[in-house]
Amino acid sequence: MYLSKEESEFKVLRQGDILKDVHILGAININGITYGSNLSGEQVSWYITNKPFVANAMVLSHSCEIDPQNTIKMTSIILAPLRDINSATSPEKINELIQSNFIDDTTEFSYLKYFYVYPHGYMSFSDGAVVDFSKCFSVRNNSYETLLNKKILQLKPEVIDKMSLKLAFYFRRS
Amino acid sequence: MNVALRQQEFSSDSDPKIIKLYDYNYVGEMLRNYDIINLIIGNQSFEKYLKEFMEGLIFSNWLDKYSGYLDKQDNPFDSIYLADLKPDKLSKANKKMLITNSLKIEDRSSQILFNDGLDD
Repeated sequence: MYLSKEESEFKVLRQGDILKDVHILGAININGITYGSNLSGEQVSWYITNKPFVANAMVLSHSCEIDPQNTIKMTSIILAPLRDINSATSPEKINELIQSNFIDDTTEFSYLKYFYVYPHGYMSFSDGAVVDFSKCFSVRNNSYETLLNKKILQLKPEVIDKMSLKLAFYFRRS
Repeated sequence: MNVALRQQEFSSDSDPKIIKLYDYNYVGEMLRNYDIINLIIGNQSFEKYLKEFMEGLIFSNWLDKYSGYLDKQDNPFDSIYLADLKPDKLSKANKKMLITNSLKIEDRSSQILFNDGLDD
């Protein structure tokens, strides 16, 4: 599933890259935001009193869109959190999720919201994790170097293809 | 651990390394008949220093505004240049599968939740 350390590109971000220690900004409770105003009543700041949720995350943006060689301005980087498969409330469903992870012509059912990634020594998930597409979020392009420094794993090209196809299937729902 | 600030007393009389400057009362008496503020701003050296300080402050702020902080310059919602756009490559097989099969696949995502604080 993963490229070896020697094969991985640690000077660029690619779709499917796994990052460590990312502040997960998705799934924010919008009602829990406190806004600060100036004397004119204009909202000038905001903060959330909850503890920051820091976890592994996967890059969902297209590799070409976030490539530094891209002549068009890279505007943002889309990320989604990884979630420990062992924290699932229905462990009996996990095998089914893993078996239906890759979609092809014969697929009749799948867990489209989640893409399973195998355990690796660089991550703390002993039995693997899932990327949760429903909790994706974006950060500005000037976060690129910060995220690059957090890159720990790169998916093989054929796995990236499977992941991005599943992502498209997830959003294709009516 | 109990920590408190401690003041150590020195005396210029007892320690020859300490050089005694003017007593406060002496300075006050010396300047008693002068407008201290006028004395300061009328000093050419001080005026030069103040001018350079303010120019530095203004230049520093200008640099911060126009080149230092990308956050202020970067706007993720600004325009894109259509002439530079290139079409994304699409896999024909994936496209066909996405169009024809997507609604035929049963989605069982709702059958699993994760107890890590991200789900309500």
